[in-house]
Amino acid sequence: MSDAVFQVGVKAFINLMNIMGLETFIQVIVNGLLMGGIYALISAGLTLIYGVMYVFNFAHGEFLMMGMFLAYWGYILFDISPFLALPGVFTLIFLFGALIQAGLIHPVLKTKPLRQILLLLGVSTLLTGLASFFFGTEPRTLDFPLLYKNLGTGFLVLNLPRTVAFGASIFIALALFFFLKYSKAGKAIRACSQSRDAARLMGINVRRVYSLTFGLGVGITAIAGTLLATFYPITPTVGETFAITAFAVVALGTMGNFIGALIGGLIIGVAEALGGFYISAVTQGVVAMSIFILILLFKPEGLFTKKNI
Amino acid sequence: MKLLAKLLAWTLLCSLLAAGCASSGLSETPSASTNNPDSSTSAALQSSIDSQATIYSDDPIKIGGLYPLSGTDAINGENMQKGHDQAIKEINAQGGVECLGGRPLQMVYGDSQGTAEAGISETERLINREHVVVMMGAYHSSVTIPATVTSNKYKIPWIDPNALAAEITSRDLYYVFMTTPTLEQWAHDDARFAYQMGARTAVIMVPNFAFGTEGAQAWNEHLPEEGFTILGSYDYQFGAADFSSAILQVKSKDPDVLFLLANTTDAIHFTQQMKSMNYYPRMAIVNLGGGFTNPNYVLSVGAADAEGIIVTSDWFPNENLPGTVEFARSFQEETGILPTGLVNTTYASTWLLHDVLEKACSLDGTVIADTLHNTTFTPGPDTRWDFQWSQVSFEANGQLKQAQTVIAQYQDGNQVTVYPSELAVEEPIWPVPGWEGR
Repeated sequence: MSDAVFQVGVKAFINLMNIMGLETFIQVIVNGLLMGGIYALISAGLTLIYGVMYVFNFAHGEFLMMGMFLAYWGYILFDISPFLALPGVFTLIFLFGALIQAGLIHPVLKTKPLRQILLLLGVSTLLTGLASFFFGTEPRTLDFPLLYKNLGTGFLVLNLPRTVAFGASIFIALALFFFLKYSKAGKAIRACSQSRDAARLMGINVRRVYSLTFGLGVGITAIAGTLLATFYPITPTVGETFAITAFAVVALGTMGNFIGALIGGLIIGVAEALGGFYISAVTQGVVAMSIFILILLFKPEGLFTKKNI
Repeated sequence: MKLLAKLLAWTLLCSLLAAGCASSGLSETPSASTNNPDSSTSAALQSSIDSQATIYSDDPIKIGGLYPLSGTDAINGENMQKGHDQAIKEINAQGGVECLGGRPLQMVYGDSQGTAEAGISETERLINREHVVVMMGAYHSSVTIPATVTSNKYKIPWIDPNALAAEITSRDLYYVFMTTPTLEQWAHDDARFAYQMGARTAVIMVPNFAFGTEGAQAWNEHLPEEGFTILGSYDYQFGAADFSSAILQVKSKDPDVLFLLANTTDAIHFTQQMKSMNYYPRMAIVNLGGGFTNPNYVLSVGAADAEGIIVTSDWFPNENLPGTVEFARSFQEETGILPTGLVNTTYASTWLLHDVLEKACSLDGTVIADTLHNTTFTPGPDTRWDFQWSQVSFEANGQLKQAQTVIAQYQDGNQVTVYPSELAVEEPIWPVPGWEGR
C-alpha cells in the first residue's frame, strides 16, 4: 500500500518536473548552489570576526574589492594567474587587516557598538573612494583563459571558475574548523571568543589574537575576491553588491558559526536562483533581504543555536 | 603600539586629504544646495540682472552640466564630461564667443548621483549660486525630467544631449530642448530592422530602473506593431551578483531575438555569463543606448565575444557621412575614448550651443530659448557639429528635427553602421552565429 503511494508520489513529482522542465530545474538548482558557495566564502570571514570579536565588519565588501583588484593587477602587471596569486593576496590583506585592527579598531573595541560601526563605515567609504580615485570607476575584467571552461556535458553546465570558488568555500570552512580546533593559535582564538577576560587571565595576548582573527577574516574574504575576479567585473563599488548578501547569510547561519555560514550561503544562493527563474529575476535582491528580515524577526539567533568557534 | 596606531591614523588622514584635493582639481566638486530663493521669479530676475551686468566682462560664460559622477553610472557621467570638455577646449582655443567679446565658455558640473533629489538640488545650486546661463545633461531621464522643471521655472534653457525619454519634450516646456532621438523612436526602428532581417519572436529583458522600464514599454508597444510575437518580457535586478536565472528565463522561451538593456557593468557580466552557459538567441541580441555602446564594453569582453551584438544609437564613428571618421579619430586621440554612446551628441550639442550664443548674442535665458526655437542652423566654416547633422532646427516642443536612429553591429571589435541603408557601411551578419559557431 505504502509502496503504491510512494510510486504515485514519484510519478507526480516526475510529472511536475516535466511540466517545470526538469533539465532547467536542475540547472537552476546547480547555478544556485554554485553562487551560494561563493556567498558562503564571502561570509566566512565576516562570521569569524563577529564570532570572536563581536565586531560587525561594515567594511567587509571593501576587503573583497581589494582582493579583486590585487588579483587583477597581479594578472595584468605580472602575469600571475589568480589561482597562483591566492597565497600572496591572502598574506597582503591579512597584514593590512591586522594593521587596521591594531591601529583603528582596537582603540574603539570597548566603546559603544555605534562607534565601531561608524569607524568601519568610514573605512569602507575611504577604501571605495581611494579605489575610485586611483583605478577609476569603469568596470574591469580579467581576460582569464579559463573563464568559459565548463565541466560536465549535455544539459548540465558547470562553469569552471564558479566550481573552483565553490570547492574553495568548502575547503576553507573545513580548514578553519581544523585550525580552530587543533592549532595553538586556533585554541587561543576560541578561548578569546568564549571569554575575553578569562583568556587574558590565562596569559593569552588578546590584542594579538584579535589582530590574527581580523587578519584571517579579511584574508579569507580577499581569497573570495580573487576567485570572484576570475568571472565577475571589478569596480570600486563591487563590495556593496556582495556585502549585503553576506550580512543575510551570516544572520541566517547564526552569527559566528562558519559552518552555518556555508549552509546559509547555499540556502540563499538556491533561493535566489529559484526565485529569479520562477518568479522574476528582479526578486534576486529581494530574496536575500526577505530572508534577512524574517530571520531577524522570528529567529534572531539564526538557524543554529550555537556559534561554532 | 600607540605610536603605530597614531602613525596609521595620520597616514590614512593624509591620503584622504590628498585624494580629496586631487579630485577637486579634476572637476568642480558638487555640494548640497542651500541657496533657496523665496520665490522663483525674484531668482530669475536676479539671475537675469547678473547676466546682463556681466555680459561684456572677461569672465567665462558658465554652462551647467548635470551628470552621475558617483555611483554605478559614474563612468557614463565621466564620458559625457569628456564630450563637453573637448568641445569647450576647442571653442575657447578658437576665440570663445566672438559676439560677446570673445568670452570663453566654462563647464561647471553637478553630481546627480543618478537620483532625482540630488539632481534637482544640484540644478538649483548651478543656477542660483554658479549663475550658469544654460544647463546640459543629465544622462538619466529620471533625473532630467524633474530637473528640467526646475530650470524651466528659472527660465534657464536646458539642452539635453543624452537622456532619451520622450516625456522630456512632450511636456512642451519652452526652455527645454532635446538633441537625441527619443527612446520610442529607437525602439520602433529596432523592431522594424529586426523584422526586415527575418526575426519573428522576441524576448525583452530590462533592468529594474527607470530607463529599463521605459525601454520595455517602448519595445512592448512597437514590436507587435511591426509583426513580432513577444514570448516574454522580464525585469532583472541591475548590478546583481548572478544573471544565470535571467538567462535561463530567456533560454526557456527560445526567441529569435533577445531585446536587452543593460548598463556597462551588467552588459559585460551578461555577455560573459551567457557564454559560460553556452546560450545565444537564435538570431541576435539587440539593444538600444546603454552599456553595450560604451567603449569599455568591447575592451572588457573582447572583440570575439562582442561580435554580432546589435546596438542602437544616433550616430556611429564609421557611418557614411562626411567628416565622421576624421572627427572620431581626432576625438579619440585627444580624450582616449571613442565618441560613441551619445558622447558624440554631447560634443556636437556643446558646439551647437556656441553657435546659438553667437546667434543670440545675449546671455538672457529667454533670448537664447527664442533663438533655439526660431533658427535653422546651417554649417559654416567653423562648425563642428556637422559630422552628425546636416542642419539643425527644433520642433515646437523642443525636439531636434534632425535626430535619427542609426543601428550598428559589432564586427571585428568595431561598431559598424548597418542601418539605415543610406548611412550603412557594411551588411549585417544575420543570423549571428552562437558561441560554438565562432
